Amino acid sequence: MTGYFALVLFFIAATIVGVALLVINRLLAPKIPDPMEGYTYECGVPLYDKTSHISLEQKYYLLGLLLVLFDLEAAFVLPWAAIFKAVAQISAGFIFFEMFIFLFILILGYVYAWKKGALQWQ
Amino acid sequence: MEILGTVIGITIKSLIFIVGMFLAAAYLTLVERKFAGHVQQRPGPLHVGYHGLLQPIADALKVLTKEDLVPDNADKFLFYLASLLAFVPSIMILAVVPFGEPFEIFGFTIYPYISDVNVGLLLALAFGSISLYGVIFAGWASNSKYPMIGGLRKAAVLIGYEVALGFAIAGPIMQAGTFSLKGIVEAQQGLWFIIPNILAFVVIIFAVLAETGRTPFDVQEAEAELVGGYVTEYSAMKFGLFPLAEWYIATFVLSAITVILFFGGWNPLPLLGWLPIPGMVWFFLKLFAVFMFFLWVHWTLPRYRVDQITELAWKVMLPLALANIFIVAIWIMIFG
Repeated sequence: MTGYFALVLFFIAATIVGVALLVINRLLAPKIPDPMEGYTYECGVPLYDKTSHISLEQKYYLLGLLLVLFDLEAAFVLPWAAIFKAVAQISAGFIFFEMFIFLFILILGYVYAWKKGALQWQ
Repeated sequence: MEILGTVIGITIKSLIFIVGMFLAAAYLTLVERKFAGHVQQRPGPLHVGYHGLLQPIADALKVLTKEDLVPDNADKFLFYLASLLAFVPSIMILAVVPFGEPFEIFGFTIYPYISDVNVGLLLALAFGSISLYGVIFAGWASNSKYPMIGGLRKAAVLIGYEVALGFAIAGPIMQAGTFSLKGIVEAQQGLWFIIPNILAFVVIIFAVLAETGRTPFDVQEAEAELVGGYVTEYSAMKFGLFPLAEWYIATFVLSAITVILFFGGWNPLPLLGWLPIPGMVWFFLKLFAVFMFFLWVHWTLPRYRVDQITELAWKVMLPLALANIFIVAIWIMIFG
């Protein structure tokens, strides 16, 4: 448990250092208000749209969906990878084909997504 | 009392690591700027100190004393949170990276790492993914067109490489049989994992370049199109944390992970094991070589378009990573 405990302490220390940097900046920096300083960056012309919180394009949604799918598959592959060497000494064929049936189904889904054009940046 | 001692000990050690990383990152900026300068046939920083040696300190002071601006339209809480979310996860990877074996000085055993948890590699991958939120939040909270587009592009690129990265690290794990980064290094005392994991190595090089936003893949701030990308609205230290986290801390720790996965960590170079050089020195030599490789790529190649990069991730890198699993499985079954 000491390992995870150390990680938590490291996280707290890193957050404190990050916050401290922002606070020091706020204390040291001059404050010279300017009427236009809070204006959203644009190339010198008044803003056309007041907000940029618009609806997103569909391509981002599709890529996000694919990420969930394939990252979950990776999460199943990694434990298999960790025990592969140990089991391969007992029965190599079993663990090999077991995973490659799984990967084959994954690749079928991958090919389907590719053929449907989901990997295309539309 | 014993717990209190442990807490104080670990906290001091964490602070030493963090401050050390800050100083290293500060001087890595100088290394990068000098390198970039000479790549482009100009001298780089030259006037602050001898050949620009004090330039990082001048930069740090400058970034700390600039006015702290928040745009009127921005979501103030998320705006501040974004720079913390970019910085904290990248430095968290440092906590799981082992820099060498424990050694003794004056009777004290010194452990050159914060923690050696048995899922170290997964934690490193997870922290790498969390730093993505910093970029997305920065884009969203700024409430401005250029940061928004930059943040979304970076997100789209990163999730593609995330998948390939997840499958690529399966190769070294299969050979080492553990997720512990220390265990992976100890498993490489004979042959380094670059053989037969060469395909995974290629995938990880691309993934690190994408994750740290270095040039062939720096679509998130493509300065000719997006002004400054997701940091357009940022100023002062809020801005400073982004390049610090991405370009220096993240590149540094991800180079360390690359060295650990493929180049044997602190094991000496082949045929040079008889030299009286401690393991940590070997580790930093290899780390620096990999870091300079990323700089070399950054300052040499032009930028790809964002559609080319995402399609490269899904259509080339993912099949390569899967092929690597297959190759390594057969390698282990033949050579044990």
